[in-house]
Amino acid sequence: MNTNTTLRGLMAAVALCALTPLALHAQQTTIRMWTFLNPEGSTVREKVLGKVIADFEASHPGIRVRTEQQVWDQMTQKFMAASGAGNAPDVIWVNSDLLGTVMQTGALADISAAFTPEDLADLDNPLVQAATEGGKVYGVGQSYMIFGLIARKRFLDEAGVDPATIRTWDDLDAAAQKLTKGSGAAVERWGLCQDLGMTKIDPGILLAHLLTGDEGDPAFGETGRANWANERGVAGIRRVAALIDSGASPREGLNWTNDEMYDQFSAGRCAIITGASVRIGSLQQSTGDDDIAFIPYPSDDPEGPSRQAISNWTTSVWTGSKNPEAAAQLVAFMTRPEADEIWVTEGGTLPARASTAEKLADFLNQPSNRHMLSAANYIRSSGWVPPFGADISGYRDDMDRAIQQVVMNGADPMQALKEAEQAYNTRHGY
Amino acid sequence: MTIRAYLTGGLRRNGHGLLYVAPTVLLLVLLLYGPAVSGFYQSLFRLGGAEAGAFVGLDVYRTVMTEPGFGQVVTSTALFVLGSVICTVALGFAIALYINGLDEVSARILQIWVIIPWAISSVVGALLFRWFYMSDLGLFREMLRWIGLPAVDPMSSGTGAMIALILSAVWKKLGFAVILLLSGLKAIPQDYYEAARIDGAGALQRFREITVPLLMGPLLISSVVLGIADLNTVELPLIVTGGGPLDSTTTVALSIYQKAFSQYDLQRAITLAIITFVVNIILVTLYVRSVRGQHK
Repeated sequence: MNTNTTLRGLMAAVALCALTPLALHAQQTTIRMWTFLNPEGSTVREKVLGKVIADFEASHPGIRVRTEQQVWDQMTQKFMAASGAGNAPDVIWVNSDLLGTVMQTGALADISAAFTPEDLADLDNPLVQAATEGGKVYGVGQSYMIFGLIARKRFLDEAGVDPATIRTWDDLDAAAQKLTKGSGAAVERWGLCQDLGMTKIDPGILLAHLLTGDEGDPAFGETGRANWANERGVAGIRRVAALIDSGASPREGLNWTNDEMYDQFSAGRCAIITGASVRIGSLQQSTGDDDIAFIPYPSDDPEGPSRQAISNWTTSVWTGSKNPEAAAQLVAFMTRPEADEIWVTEGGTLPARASTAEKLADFLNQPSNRHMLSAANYIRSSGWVPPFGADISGYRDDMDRAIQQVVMNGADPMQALKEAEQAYNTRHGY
Repeated sequence: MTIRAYLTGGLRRNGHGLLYVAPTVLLLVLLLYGPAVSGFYQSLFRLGGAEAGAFVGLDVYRTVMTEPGFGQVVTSTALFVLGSVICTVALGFAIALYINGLDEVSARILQIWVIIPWAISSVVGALLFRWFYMSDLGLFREMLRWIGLPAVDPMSSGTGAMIALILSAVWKKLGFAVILLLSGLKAIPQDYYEAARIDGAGALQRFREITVPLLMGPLLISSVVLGIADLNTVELPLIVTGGGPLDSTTTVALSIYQKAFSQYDLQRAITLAIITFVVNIILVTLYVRSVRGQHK
């Protein structure tokens, strides 16, 4: 073999080596997905997401999923900005508070082709209906949750409080007082902790008051217009303020994010918190205590709980996606029956499918999982979904601002609610 | 001379210089001036989401500046910027004077010590302070207990939260002020002090008549640079206080962030950003003038 032949052979080999990855890359479709979960993280939901993505990639060899983790309370807003700028991800998890706003911008693609009619019937619930318009499906829900009271049963047992007996607001006040250990600076544990800060917060007692008995006088109008300055709102603020003034709720909560409140709960500093049902799996993990109860918000009527917001993450495909079919396949895969089962059994989320709830009836009835059944029942009996297409973004901040005005500045509750309502309505152009 | 001849002559004379600054100018146009002009243009239209709607002109500027919360945000920003700049420069000046009198090894160790917070990531530093002040779990409460003071939660009142925020900013930027002022002190010829000493000037007189006047340039520069940094910082108020309680620590920069990413109110966010941009230009002009003044 002469030198020229050797050189030619080497060059061909180098060219082949260089081109092979390019050729492989050309066959590979990469789907960008924005979510607040890190698939390599350690919480139960993160582990499930990692598993579902790995299963998807294994069953779709030509598609890779690139997850880009975002901060949950800014992700949807960032998506809308990115969509306007033309560089949004293929798949997005949309916060249910902002679903109507996002749909109005036309940023979500119809993904009905990725589902059979049986699938859609199985997935049917008010939040999927909120993402459906004229037969077009703009997303399907995951991580269903409702906001309520989360309690360490051990602490309740110690104080002789039965969670089943917390049926009225007065019952809750009494339980919170009874569960509080110590007072003032020497408080060892608060009876009821609330996240009342201005960022990363969950809706709580005030929203429960506003939504309950609002028939004919809704807290949010059809477009999402606020109607909070009324007797229900005043009662809600007074209750929150009274809990803080009595020392059963921490004044520090006025500056807490929900994560800080969950941390306090994990540290054993709160017997009950106002939180999201979906967090209970992680709280069981962080406290090492499986016996955590979910209690619906009480009401003035011992026969039924207060209404409260249902929330979820609607998984959708961006209209500007260059790979809409592959992206829709990923969305469908994440909510297929097998995945839904893993989300429930390992991720601690509520079933997205009616068939999953039926299949896992025994699992949901186990003592450590009863909180899921309780949350699912609460959703069915008293869950509230924003009016279709309504923009209700930022209402949590405005409500907490009203509470802070009353607790910190001694403002009149009605006046504080009027100001919060006006700020919200002005910002939304209502 | 015609304009063309002037430009050609200028190009010939400054060709190399223009070539050197071209990449920076290009980057500034792409990343700063371009978006600023585009932002200003967009602010003239009604924004529904990220899409531009009807032309509204400068109306939105008037609306934003007359809204109830605007005065509070401006006041909070002014308090935060002035408070943190004055405290940082005053404390930095005192430390720089102290270091200037030390031997070389001690001075170097102390310089490294004060510069560490400046080198730490802003987010990490802010989180440290968030946990430091956390009422029941934080170190602040323990420190109060050690010295026999009653437990106080600085985050439960507007004044307390603002002081906590200012202290966090001072901690973060103190090293920068110390290094800048120390280099200014080192640049003052020792002959001046010796001559003053021979003439019978005391320590206070030497400080008042030599140190302060000759350090005026670095003092002004560090004040303006720190002021710009504090005006634009988002992570510190966002993480340390979250803007609360009751918006008492919501600065303009945090307000822009909240409007854009919490409330998805891009119209007001862009408008506020443009107003802040103009204030920044004024501060930068001040900075450039003080640098020029120092070199004259």
